[in-house]
Amino acid sequence: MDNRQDTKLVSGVFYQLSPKRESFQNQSRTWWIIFIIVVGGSLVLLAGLFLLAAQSISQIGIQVVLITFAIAICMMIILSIKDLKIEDGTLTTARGYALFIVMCVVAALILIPLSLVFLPLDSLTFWIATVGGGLTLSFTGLMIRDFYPELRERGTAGILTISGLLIVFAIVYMTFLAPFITPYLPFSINVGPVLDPPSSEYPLGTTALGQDLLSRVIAGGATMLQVAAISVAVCFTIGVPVGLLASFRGGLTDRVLSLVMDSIFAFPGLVLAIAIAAMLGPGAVNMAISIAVVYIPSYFRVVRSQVLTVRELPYVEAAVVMGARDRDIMFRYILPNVLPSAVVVMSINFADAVLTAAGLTFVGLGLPVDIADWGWDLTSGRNQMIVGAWWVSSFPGLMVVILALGFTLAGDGLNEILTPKLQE
Amino acid sequence: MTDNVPLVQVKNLKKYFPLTGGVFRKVLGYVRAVDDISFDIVKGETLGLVGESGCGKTTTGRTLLRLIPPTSGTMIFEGQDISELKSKEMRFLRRNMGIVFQDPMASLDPRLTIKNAVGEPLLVNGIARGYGLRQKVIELLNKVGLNEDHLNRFPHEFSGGQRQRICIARALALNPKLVVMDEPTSSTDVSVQAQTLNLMKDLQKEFDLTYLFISHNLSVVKHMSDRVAVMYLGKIMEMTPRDIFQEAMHPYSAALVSSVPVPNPEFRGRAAILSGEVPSPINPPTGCRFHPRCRFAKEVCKDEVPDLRDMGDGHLVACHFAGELDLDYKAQIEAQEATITGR
Repeated sequence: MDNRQDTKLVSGVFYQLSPKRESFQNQSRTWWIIFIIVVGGSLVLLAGLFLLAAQSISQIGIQVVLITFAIAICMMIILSIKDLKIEDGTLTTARGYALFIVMCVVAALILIPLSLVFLPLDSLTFWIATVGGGLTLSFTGLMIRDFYPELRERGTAGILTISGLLIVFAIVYMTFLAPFITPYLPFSINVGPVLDPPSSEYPLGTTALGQDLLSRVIAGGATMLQVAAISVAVCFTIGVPVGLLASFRGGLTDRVLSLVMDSIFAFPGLVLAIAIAAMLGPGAVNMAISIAVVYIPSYFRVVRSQVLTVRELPYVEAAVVMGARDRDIMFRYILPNVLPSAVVVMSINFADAVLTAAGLTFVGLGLPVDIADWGWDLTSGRNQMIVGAWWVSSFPGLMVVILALGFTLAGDGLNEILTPKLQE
Repeated sequence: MTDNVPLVQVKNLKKYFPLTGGVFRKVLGYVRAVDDISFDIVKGETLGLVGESGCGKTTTGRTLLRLIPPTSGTMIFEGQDISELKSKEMRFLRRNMGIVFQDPMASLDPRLTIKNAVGEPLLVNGIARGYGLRQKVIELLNKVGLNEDHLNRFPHEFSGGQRQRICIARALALNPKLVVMDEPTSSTDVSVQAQTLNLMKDLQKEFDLTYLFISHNLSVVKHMSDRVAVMYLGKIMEMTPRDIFQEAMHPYSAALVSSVPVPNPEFRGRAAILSGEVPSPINPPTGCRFHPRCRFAKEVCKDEVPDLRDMGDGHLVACHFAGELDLDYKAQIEAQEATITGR
């Protein structure tokens, strides 16, 4: 119990790796390698962040970064106090988390007027950057602190989840702060020579329009993340319940819904997305909707087939015999056993959505040219490959790959953790 | 204990599964899984239901709990006809019923801890929650030989026998009157089987339970049951309160009894092993269902369906020649007894 409290207070990766004087000498070589990678990696990332912030075009990069850190530290303190209260027995767990969410909202509400007072012109961007970045950092901290000790016991799956989520959170944080840490404006053209290879002044080179690629890489995640998040959320909230309903009801409902879904599924995905996007017009939300429509059937089919299997299992019959209602059976027995498959589809879906979004931008149905977007750079860079400008599509492409990798790792790890059977 | 009040009365129960085909799901025929069977289960007794695979034992059990609706016939539970009840009304009656399935792994949700699995019936029926639920679950687990340490474990962390005991605890959570045991021991080995069976017997005495015990294993059924019903192709062939090993009167029961292996390597008995396959329940034989495989079959067996006739003491036999046949399986029995007594 004592040990556990210790982990609660200084826990997470940093507890596991914390240098204890007496144990410093007798650590294994693996431990040292991991220690150096984790600590060195964090330091490099932090140094890079502050360097970028110091040299940013916005002049207040350092301040913004510091504010996000301040928010995160406040959150962690609140969480620690909450945990102490829970251990005292004065608070229940559910109430503790409710309180945490309330504190998040209060912090956001305090920051709005503050930002309005100090920065009347750029207030909304500032507010989004600081609150968004701060919350992302807080959640990262929360994850490391609360879930790391538990996830560690799950072995590889836990490590996978944590690394996947860390990648995703890092990209989200970067995207939130983008307006304040980019060295140049990502969309202004001719900030430097056209197609300049990576140099000290333009670390990732410049595009065919003379834009700074580093700025575009930092800022370009916004659309991708928005599109991926919205489309996956829409897919999930429509596909899973519809699949559940169809297979649970059976009969005519099932036949009609399956027919509709199959006919959507029969179209080639990208072609259908292009058709819908062309109908709706360009824009992030429209892109998300067109991608969502394409991927709903995959959720539907996975959930439906899973429900058909699970529904016939004896434990569902046992639930019927013990007098459970239909909705109890659906939500307590069938849905939890089906969700892991849906989560796996989701993790693949995230990566797919990112790639489809890039595809939509490619055919000109994505976003206006003046918005920084990895998909756009990937596309335009393709033409410059011939003249040897490899950097224009390489770096945005790398970011797409890293983001997709993060989602996939997180999805895979979560799947294993959410299915107790696989623990064996 | 037994006061001869029937807890369950089943009359002319039929369950046909339609066979469909084609685009419009035309009904092509029926699988007559259970075809016109009647029986009573008296309060506090154990009715053993025995038969080959596919003879309709499990379907009978599932229909009795209304997991599947009967095609026709009535089922009276404590004076109330449950064959036509709506699912909502059935839900309340289900508190009086429990079921233990064949495969204990599949009958426990892999996602629920033991506490939740056993406590679930109490929770969904709003009987207990919170601390009271926990206490109740511990009490139930103690009854089946498990303890508090097991509360927060998942089903995959238990052995087969333990899982089956968890299932029994869950079935008993609502303090039911009728428990259907659907081949509860067929997936465990013999030593665990004996342990589980004795536990069930003890629990029956303690809670005054009524069992419908379904199994294909004659010895197990004999050990557990007050009365034994032998099923063949959806029909009850023989139902007896007597020792089926000693006094089988139907040729099919006799064949079943004589097929029980004798633990004596020197015994070369003439086990009346049945020839031929079990006919399809889609297209069952006319007259007596058993006549194509019966050594005593005569003309009348092909044409007339034999009724269950009482041969005294409530020993019911569905054979035209019950009591007149020399079933000739005694050699087997004697050899068995000889082995037991050590001669």
